[in-house]
Amino acid sequence: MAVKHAGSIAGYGSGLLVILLLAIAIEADPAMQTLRRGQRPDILLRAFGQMREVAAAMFILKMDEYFHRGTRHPDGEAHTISDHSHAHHHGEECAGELPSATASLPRKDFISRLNQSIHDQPVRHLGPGEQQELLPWVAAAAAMDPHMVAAYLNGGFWLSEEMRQPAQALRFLEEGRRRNPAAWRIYEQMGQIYFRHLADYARARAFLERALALQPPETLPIEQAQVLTFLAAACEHAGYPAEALRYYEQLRLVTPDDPAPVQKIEMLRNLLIEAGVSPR
Amino acid sequence: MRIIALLGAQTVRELMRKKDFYVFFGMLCAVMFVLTRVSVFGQSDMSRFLKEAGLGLIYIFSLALAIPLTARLLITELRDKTIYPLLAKPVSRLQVVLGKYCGALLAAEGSFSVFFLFFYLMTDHATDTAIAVYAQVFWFGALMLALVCALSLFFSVFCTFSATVTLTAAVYVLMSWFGMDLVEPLWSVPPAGPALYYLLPHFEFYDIRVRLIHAWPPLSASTVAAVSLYTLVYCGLLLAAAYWGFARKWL
Repeated sequence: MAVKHAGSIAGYGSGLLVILLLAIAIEADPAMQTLRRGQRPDILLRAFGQMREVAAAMFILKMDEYFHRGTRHPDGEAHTISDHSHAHHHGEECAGELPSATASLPRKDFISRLNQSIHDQPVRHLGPGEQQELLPWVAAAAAMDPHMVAAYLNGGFWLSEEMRQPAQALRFLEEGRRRNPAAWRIYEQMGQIYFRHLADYARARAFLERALALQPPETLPIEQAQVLTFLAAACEHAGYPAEALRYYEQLRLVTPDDPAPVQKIEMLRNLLIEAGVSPR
Repeated sequence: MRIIALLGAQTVRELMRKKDFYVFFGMLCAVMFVLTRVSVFGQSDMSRFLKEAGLGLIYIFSLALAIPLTARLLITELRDKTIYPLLAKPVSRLQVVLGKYCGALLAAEGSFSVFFLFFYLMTDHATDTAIAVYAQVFWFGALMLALVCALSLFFSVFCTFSATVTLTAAVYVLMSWFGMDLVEPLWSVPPAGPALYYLLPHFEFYDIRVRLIHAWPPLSASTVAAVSLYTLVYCGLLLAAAYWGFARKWL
């Protein structure tokens, strides 16, 4: 009798676990595609063999949900801090309320209408002094999957940019760097923090040079340009005009339509000539 | 009514005798206590995280108590043959079904109320979240448990204990998480799709924890009334179907 009960409990417990794992894997699928940059193992492997990665993706989704005060993007995508369209994503400069994720539900029946009245809420971001609410999810994501680079990047961004704690951000990013030594974005963010918040241009240069070296050939031009811009400026501020000139020239190749590098190149060339140093 | 009340009281006494409620309450207290002292990156004022964790645990523990408790009520009576002296009292089969449901409901709502009261006392509720939101989250949680108990009792008439628990939990999880996403797929397969869409219990109505966690405004009275009416009607239909199955069951 005891064996029968134990078997029965094990049976329905296993059934419940299977259902839960599959539900979580399906829910985290869009985030997994974005955060894992196209790597998409089979959903069953994701559900049972890579539960930590799925859980980390869920925590990142949760962080994004918290940032949007419990609402979701209308198309279900998650933020990334390299989202260069962030400033226009919700049109913060636009007046009036913005539609929520449930606003696009077809109003065919009373159930859909009831769902809309319950779950509909205009999309808003967390205000100043509230960003610490995101930190537990970031920390949990990094703990679950130490190779979830997005967790470290998000944590570093919120700590340095919004909460003005660059030292804390660097400690967190350093942990991410140790666990992901090939993650150029972590080096880039560390370099930016040293540049913008600590004015430590020598360290900024070191990290940004490493980021540049680690960038794969298929890196988007805008991402290359971002690293080169900060790197060139770091060299300039650190008193290395020749190196700065070299990076601005690289930047000009990546962004030929941007006049800013051209002006910098001319300025630095003149500077080097005045100093009696050959620009080449 | 007296017989139904007596049967219900017996179910509540059964819950009190078991250790499940005390274990879950102890776990809730321990976890909430630890979370109030958690510091992440030197920050400790993270009230939303605490509310999210607390409410999540309350829902999980309440469901973990309600579903198996309700599932085993009729099944145990049939297995242990205690249904015969019960029906010989005489107690009608309808009274048995209603009595068991009322008992399960009382036990589930009582546990949920204790958990929620503890949560209310532990969280910072004096700031930006209206008391109306707390009340609505509590009420919707109670409605959810009423529907879960009715569903579990319905399945228990036709299935084994394991199957009842699995089916009830599966329906709850799938509808809570994907209920809103089923509109398009089901409406694209008429007439079976829309019929199934209306037939399924829409548990996604009841999860309004986000309103409390993120300080959304309270729901309108008409919305609350509509969800309450939906729950009443659906529970009635489930209990009617459970009675129909139990009445035709060869004991």
